[in-house]
Amino acid sequence: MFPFLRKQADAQAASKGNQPAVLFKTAIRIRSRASHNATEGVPWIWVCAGALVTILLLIAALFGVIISQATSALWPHSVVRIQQDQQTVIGVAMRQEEGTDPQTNERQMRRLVYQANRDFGINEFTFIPSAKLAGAERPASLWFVERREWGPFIGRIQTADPATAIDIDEKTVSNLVNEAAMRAAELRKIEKGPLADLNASMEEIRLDKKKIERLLETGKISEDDAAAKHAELDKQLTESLKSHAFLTEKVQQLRSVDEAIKVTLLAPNGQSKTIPASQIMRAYQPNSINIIQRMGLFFGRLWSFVSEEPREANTEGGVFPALFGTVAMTILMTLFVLPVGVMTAVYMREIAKQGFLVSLVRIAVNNLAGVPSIVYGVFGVGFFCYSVGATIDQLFFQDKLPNPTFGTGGVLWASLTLALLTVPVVIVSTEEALTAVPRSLREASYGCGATRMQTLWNIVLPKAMPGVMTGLILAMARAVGEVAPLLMTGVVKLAPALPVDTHFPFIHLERSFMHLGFHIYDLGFQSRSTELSRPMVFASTSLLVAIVLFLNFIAIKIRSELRKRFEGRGAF
Amino acid sequence: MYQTRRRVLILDRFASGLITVVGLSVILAVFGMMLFLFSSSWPLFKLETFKPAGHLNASSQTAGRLLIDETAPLAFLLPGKEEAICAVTARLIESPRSGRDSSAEAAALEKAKYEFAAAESTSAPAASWIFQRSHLTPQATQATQLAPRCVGQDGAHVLLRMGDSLQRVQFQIVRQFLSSEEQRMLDIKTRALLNERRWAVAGSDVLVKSSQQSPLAKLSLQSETVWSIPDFYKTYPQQTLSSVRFVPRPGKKDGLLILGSHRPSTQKSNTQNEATAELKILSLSENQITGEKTSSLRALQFKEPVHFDLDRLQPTWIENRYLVIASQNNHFFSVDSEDAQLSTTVLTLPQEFGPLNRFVPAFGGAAAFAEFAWKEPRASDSPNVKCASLDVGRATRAAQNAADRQAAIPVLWEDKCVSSDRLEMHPHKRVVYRWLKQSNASDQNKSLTPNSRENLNFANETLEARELTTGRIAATTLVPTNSFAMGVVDTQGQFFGWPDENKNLNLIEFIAPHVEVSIKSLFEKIRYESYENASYSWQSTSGSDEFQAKFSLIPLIWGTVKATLYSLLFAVPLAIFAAVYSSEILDRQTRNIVKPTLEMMASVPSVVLGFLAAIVIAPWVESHVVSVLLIGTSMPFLLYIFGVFLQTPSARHLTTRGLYASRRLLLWVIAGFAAMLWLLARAGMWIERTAFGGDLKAFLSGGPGTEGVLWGLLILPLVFISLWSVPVRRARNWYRIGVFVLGPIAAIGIGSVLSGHTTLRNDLLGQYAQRNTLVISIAMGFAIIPIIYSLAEDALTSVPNSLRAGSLACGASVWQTTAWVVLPTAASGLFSAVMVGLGRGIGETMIAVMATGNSAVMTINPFDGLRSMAANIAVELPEAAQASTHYRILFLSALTLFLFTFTLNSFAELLRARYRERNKAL
Repeated sequence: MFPFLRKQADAQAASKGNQPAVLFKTAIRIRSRASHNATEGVPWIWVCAGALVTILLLIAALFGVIISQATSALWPHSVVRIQQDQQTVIGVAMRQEEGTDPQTNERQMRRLVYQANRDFGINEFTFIPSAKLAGAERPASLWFVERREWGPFIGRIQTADPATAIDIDEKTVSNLVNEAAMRAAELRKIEKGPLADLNASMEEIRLDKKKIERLLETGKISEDDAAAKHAELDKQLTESLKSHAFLTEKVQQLRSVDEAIKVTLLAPNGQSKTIPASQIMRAYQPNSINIIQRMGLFFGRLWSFVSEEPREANTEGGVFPALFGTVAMTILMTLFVLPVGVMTAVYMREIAKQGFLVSLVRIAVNNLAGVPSIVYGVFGVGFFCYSVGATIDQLFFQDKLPNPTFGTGGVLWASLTLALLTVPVVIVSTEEALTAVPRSLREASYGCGATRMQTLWNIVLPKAMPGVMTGLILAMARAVGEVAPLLMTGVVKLAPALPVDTHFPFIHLERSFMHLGFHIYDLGFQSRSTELSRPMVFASTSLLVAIVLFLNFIAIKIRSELRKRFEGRGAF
Repeated sequence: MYQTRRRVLILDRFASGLITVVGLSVILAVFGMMLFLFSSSWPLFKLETFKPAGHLNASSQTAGRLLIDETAPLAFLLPGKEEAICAVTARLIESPRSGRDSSAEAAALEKAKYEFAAAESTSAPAASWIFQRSHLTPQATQATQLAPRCVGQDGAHVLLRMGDSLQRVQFQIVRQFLSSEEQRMLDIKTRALLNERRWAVAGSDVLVKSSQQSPLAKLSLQSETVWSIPDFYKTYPQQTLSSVRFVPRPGKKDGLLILGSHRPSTQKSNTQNEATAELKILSLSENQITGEKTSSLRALQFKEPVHFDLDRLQPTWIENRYLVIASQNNHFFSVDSEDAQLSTTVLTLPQEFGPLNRFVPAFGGAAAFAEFAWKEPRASDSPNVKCASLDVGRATRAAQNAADRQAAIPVLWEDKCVSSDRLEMHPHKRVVYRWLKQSNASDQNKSLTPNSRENLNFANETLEARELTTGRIAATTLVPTNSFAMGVVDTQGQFFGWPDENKNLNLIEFIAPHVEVSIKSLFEKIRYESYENASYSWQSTSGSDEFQAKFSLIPLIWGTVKATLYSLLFAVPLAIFAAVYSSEILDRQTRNIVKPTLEMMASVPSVVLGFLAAIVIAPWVESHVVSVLLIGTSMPFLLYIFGVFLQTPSARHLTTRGLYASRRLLLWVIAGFAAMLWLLARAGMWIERTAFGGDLKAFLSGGPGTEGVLWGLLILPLVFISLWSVPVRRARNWYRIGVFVLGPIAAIGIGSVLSGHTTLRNDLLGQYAQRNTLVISIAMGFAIIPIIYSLAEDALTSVPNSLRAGSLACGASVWQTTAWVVLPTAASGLFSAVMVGLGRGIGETMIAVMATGNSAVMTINPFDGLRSMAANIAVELPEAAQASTHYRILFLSALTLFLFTFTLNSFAELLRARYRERNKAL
């Protein structure tokens, strides 16, 4: 029809390899120019564009809010001093909102100011009109102190001696804090090391005694044997107690050294409090540090956030146990889901006879991905915890009964539940990848005399590997973000111990664990004060979102690599 | 020839075997999951039955009391002439005492321990015994010359007459372990017995060994008098007292004392002495400092003298405070025991009830079962009785609050029925047992109306179990005698036993773990205790037996559907329009960025969305309600108007250059969009200030404001659409732009007219809750959008390009092609996309938990909270006891969710498959 058009299209097709689309695009242009009618329906196109833009704006807003709030939560803000109604407000200016003035009953913009100093009789949060913030002072001498207890402190740090109470300079403070941190590390080394080992072995002795009692009662061992064993255990116990006492004394000594080094915190309202220097985790003068120091502090806080344990009912400190729990649970799930998912996909694609039944099963598996996650949770608690777990307890952990070992939620059951939840994802993507492996490859392999499994193992699976990986990573991404099924299969607000430690058998699959998603749910939904937990919960949220998006990003990258690879070899 | 190595072949076979096994087991696991959920919730619907529990030698024909342990029938106490006790477990009690009179009483002390008290008679002294489940030994401990007479019992307490005084005695088992010295002192016979059967009697104590190794324990019964009224029988001489009955207050030491007295017969027709009752409340107070216990006896005050028939008197305690007494003249009296005067309040029944035949209060007294005679005489072959379940608890509470001290007793349900000879109540469940005997059962069956079809089941002698709240007959069985004995096992079922002429004790067990659940209670309106009307209600936490758990799935289904529909209302237009734009208009490069971005959005964890909804969106929406409403209703139309403006000849050059297909347009739209949003938000705040006094929430809960504006806001989209559909030919574009100005004015005008008829805030909308449906529709919409978008985009992209090219070649514009060619072709694909989105919305848990407020209300108000099924499971399952009714109902709702989403997705998948087939054909 249009020779020139065709020429142009061919040229473009050669360069882009996308023939019909270009043809079509060009056709649009030609037609649009030719007809006035082309403008018909423009309003609708605007509405469509508007819909897309709404979604994009929503996404931008979502990430904007999360990232800005999380950054602000970790950023060392400067401290302002404002005079309001004969009162001095000293604190960190936080978000702005529109509110009603209680006195004049007028609507005005106001700022929330965080005054900290919970234990000095100061309201932690107060509102001040935004206008006043412009002329706020930023006194350079104020300290911002992160403490182990009672939350942050804003004010001055002085020597402990009341007679000669003078401000301590920056260097001394940092020395004090560093020394205290070293002592704390030493303490932790004892408490988490030998002392914890001793406690574990004592618990073991207790269980052994119980076991002997049980055996005696059922008549499996004689009384003399039992007495001998009892005596031996008692001997062990006394030894343990002895070394326990020794260690406790050592800890006590270290503690008393710690207690002796004190500083006085002087709050802006004149109240003061003398505390051991070890109570201070981090101290800085927010108004006198430069941007580089600020960045340093920011990254320091970021590191403590991911590496430390939570304090003060999870509203302060870090999220290490939650992060660890999430990762451990996901890895455990991967161990279940990868072989099972791949084998099922191989069975459905390579071994089973393709027919009505297999396609029915395929649809069913596909649809399982759409079944609400809470249903899996219900199944998990009913089947794994109460049926399988209770049976395991009956068989192997009789001594601990009636306290359930496996008969309640734990990391094993949670990861099995999530494995069930994500196995369709792996199956579907593995199947897709297997389908994409050209038939000719298989035939060539068979032609060389390879058996089916040899072909599968050496030819098909390596080719399908990227697809499998994509599925696996998507499954992991889903598992990391899923909370509903965990609510009932073993996640807790504060776990006493990690699922992995140095005591035999090192990996404790029956233990309940902490999870980032649940951490967010718990802090954001059930916390004592939303205002207090806000920074932590936003930081956790951004961490979780970052993990999920990172995994997704990798999956998308692998998938596009895969597509390119197979597109390139269309003629195989 | 080459030969494959054996090892390889074996490995090959092994591997394919393994893969087959794993593959098949995963596929089975999928269905196993469904099966497990089903099997966990199925017991809810199992029919309750009476199950035969065996025959035992009873050595008597008279029915007595059945003592039942938590697991099995334990002892059957017969107040017969010859023997007082016989055991029905494998071990028979050694030597049953003989000659006990009928005042023998028994009570469960605690788990596996029972106490039995009997009064003195001609042949034996008064005594009380104690039973242990493992060693049933009657042990006389309370042999006294004072001739104690048991007048009432409650748990371990027994009210005894001792001479002239009335004493409340507490029995207690004391256990002490014997030292080895003491053990050596035991005689040979006892030692032999201990070795043989691990228990023996020594003096007044029982020696017990639970296992060979365990220490030897001595059990002895100790009694302690809690209080006594010294000269009780002097004040009330025995000649005038026919009986003394005691109705203990649950959990307290005091109670109601019913003194039956003989009244010399005055009427000639009645030759026998008529027993009248005197009602007194016996209360006990203890001085906290001195520990001195004082008891007082106060008579109930009636406005008019009331005659009580002693045998039919059925007093019951409600909430451990109010006492309700039914008299035979259809009068109920209630007394507040904390009232100093003890003045009674009259509770009346609705007029249409005839004289009261029988009355049995349910556990806790909240509800009761009653039988009434018909008011008018009936034909002899029709049911002559009306049975009803009465809400006595509510009436009592209402009576205490009422000024005139009168209250009507609400009726939970009523039914025509046959008169029963005996009525009993399950002590822990809302179940009533009726024993019916009919002389002319065959005649009865013919004449029954179809309404009472269940009555057809009545045979000659039937024991039926009825559920109290719905009146459902749970089960019936044949029991030949009405003098059966009852006992409770755990809180689950109940045992019935009766001896027959062969001296066999027949035992049946009523098994009803989930009797309160039926299809009716799950899905129909029920009139619950202390509720005004029949309603759908979900209240699962049950602190005590008195609280009635309400399990109606309807509010949860309502909440689920409401949340899903509102979020689809938000998500579907956005997702579909966005999909149309990115597949039909947007250039490939931009699309390759936009699509993965949106798909990535699908993986944002729902807990994050829920948290943001609760912490960020909810407060923002709360302070900008009108702006949100305004943006929602007019943003699409504002965009449309912009498009119309671009259609006008003067602006046409902007669009004909293919501008709208490029990335530049998207940027422009984003900028313009943000500006529009800002404008609308300001406008919304202005409207809120001028029309609702600055606070829509206050207006919704009854504050000042203009109703018409709110109506106008809601009907704005309808007004725009209807105005635009007016067929205007000339200056069409200008008319459409004009509509944007005209529309709001028209909307407010129509709204003002409408507000004269319906008040929005009272009828349609209501109170504003911070976490509400509007918030969840945004958050959940956010979760659904990427799913619908991605599937819809795929469906649209897979429409063959030849169709588009054909349409364009015919001179259609891009939009015309999209609307009339592409969209109809992709319709089934789009529909399946929406269905998958619907499935996700139904199952969405964390957003619903965090952002809905979780209140199980049934309104369509978008400013109200809701409770969705998934959220309900997440909140309640961690606290539900395993295998309880609550637990199983949660499993049932999980099964419902599973089946629903599975079906929905399968249907969507089917649609998609057919759509793909058709596209292939094109």
